[in-house]
Amino acid sequence: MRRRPRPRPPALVALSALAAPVLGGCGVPETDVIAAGAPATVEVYPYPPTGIVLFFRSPEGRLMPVIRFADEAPDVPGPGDSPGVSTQQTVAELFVGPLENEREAGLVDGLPEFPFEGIARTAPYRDGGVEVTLPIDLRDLDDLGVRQVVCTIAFTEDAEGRTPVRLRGIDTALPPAVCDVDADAGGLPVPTDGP
Amino acid sequence: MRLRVPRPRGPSRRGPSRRGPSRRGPSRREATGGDRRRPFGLRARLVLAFLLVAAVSAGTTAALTFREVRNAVLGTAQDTAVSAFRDQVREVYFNLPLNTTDLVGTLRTIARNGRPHPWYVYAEYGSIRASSGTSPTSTVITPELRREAHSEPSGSFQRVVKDGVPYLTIGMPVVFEVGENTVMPTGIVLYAVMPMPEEQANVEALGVAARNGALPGLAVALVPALIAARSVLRPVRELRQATRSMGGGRLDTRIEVRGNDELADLARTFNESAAGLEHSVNELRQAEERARRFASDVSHELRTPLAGMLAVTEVLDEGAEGLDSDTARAVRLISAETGKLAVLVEDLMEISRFDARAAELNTDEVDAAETIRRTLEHRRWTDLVRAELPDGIRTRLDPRRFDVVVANLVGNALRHGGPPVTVRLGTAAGADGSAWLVTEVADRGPGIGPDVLPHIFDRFYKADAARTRSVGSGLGLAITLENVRLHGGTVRAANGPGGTGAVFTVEMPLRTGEAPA
Repeated sequence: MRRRPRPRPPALVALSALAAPVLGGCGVPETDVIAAGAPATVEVYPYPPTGIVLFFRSPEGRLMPVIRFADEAPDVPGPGDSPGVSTQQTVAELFVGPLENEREAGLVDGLPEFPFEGIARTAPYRDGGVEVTLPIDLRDLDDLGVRQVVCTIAFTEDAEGRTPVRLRGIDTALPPAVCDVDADAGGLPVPTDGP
Repeated sequence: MRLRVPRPRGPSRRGPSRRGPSRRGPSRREATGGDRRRPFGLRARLVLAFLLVAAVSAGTTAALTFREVRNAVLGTAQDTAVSAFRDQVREVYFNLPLNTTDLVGTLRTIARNGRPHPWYVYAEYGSIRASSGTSPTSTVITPELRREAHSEPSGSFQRVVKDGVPYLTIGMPVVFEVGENTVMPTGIVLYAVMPMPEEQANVEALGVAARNGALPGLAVALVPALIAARSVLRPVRELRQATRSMGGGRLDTRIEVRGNDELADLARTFNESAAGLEHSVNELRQAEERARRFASDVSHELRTPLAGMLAVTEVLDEGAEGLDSDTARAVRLISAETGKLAVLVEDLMEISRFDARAAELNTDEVDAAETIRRTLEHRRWTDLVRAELPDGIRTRLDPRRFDVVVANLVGNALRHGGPPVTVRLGTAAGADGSAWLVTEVADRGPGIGPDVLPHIFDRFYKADAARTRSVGSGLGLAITLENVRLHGGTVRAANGPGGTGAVFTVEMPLRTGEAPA
């Protein structure tokens, strides 16, 4: 005869479902990583056109630009319309490797050494590109190494690094590639095919 | 003086206790079914439903508002921090490659200008790890943020709670312009870590305010809830009282119909049903009244001619000896049947008085044993009946009616049962401690058939079809029952132990020295 004084489960569920966000989420919750606009654009010194830009690599395998003063920048532009120092010299400096202060920052070149008295030769290539012949086997360059060389050459050839670069080694030649500095996704540098 | 009589079935305890429930039903329910508060009655359910709705709406509103405002507060702080951090970084000249000393100086400069709160600034470049604080790396910055900052050329942030303190961590890759529209990553990634105690306090205060705002809503909802419950409960209560009143016999009970809702419909229907019921019951009562009056009138009308006929048959009886045998037998038959007719008419009139509730109890305090003895002597049954009548049981009863009871039962036993017939008198205590006068009439005859037993006190019920021409009117036991009832007692018929004869047991309240009932 007497009804059992028991509240119905749905009501309780509704109440607790309601109470959970009200009572539970009162603090500041954590979030995932959220994209927040553009990166910070800074001035670097020296400004690239007055210096030479070399691309080394970080311990994590990322492309790292360094800018050196081009003390011995010739007044007359060299072959290949290079605004600063010659591509020949830039490539040579790249293959020599990072200097003392650059090594302190953990930068390495990760490139093979040029043979004694070996130099890079440049020649114009079609579509405003440049062909650079290196005195080494291109097999000895890994993907990041190819990219370091391509980018270094491209930024030597023009200020915005848009010049397509065709690398030729002792053994083989690579298809023309442009320097893609943003293609750092996952730290895996990939040379892209030229236009 | 109290005496326990050994009895075959010991029904003395059952007798009085059976009386209890047979009383008018509502008396008991009135005590429990009144206006008590049920734990989950209509009122509680209605109030709960109202409160639930109010809680849901107030809670949802509060929760949504809270979330929006919280997100706005946090969003403002975050946007300010991210753009401030970007602006701060933008004003710095970097010399690639970086060296640690210069970098720490730069970071400290940026850290001093934290907005909206001071922040810690960390930097990663190559293998260099530097910060504006003492530790070059942060424990708050997550690997996910580092991966995002290194792989995507865009700023990103993440809110992290560590040890109960929320931090805003911002990852900001640093790029520099080459040419017109091209930027190049410098390989530098700067991080800002900004504790958000103020935002946390604000958000918590906001939560408290949301909760405190919702509670008055609940309190306000209680008022309409109670009003609604009252508007439902009052008609229900009236309906219950009316129903109980009708059950108590007041068929003219009606409910006031208020409003035009479902409950008003119910009240209207109740009133219509009550009116219909009252009408039917009145018709039945009138029909019954007419039938009763008819029987009474018939009996009365028969009585006068019968009195004349009885006088004539007495004369005929006296002269019958002088007639020839056939005529004499016919005359004696007429005489006998006339006598039975007279008895029947008397019994009918007696029953009519009971039905009309015109029977009155004229009580007197008497010695029960003496009364029974006198009955037996009057009917000249003293030799035929074994009497076990203990003296000294005094009780208040109607001597004439008690005489009728005893005479009917003993006469019945003598006629239909077998000798010896025994009359026993005793007292018994009821379950509630009341005293009862118990009169038992037993015979040693064939007993009563089980199919007959339930109808033995019915009017004109003949146990044996062959017995239609017996001396009894067929109303004797019915009159006995009515007389016992008038005393507030009961009479039962049963078979003795082992099927040895019938036992009639009369139980009547033992009253002494009281006012006449």
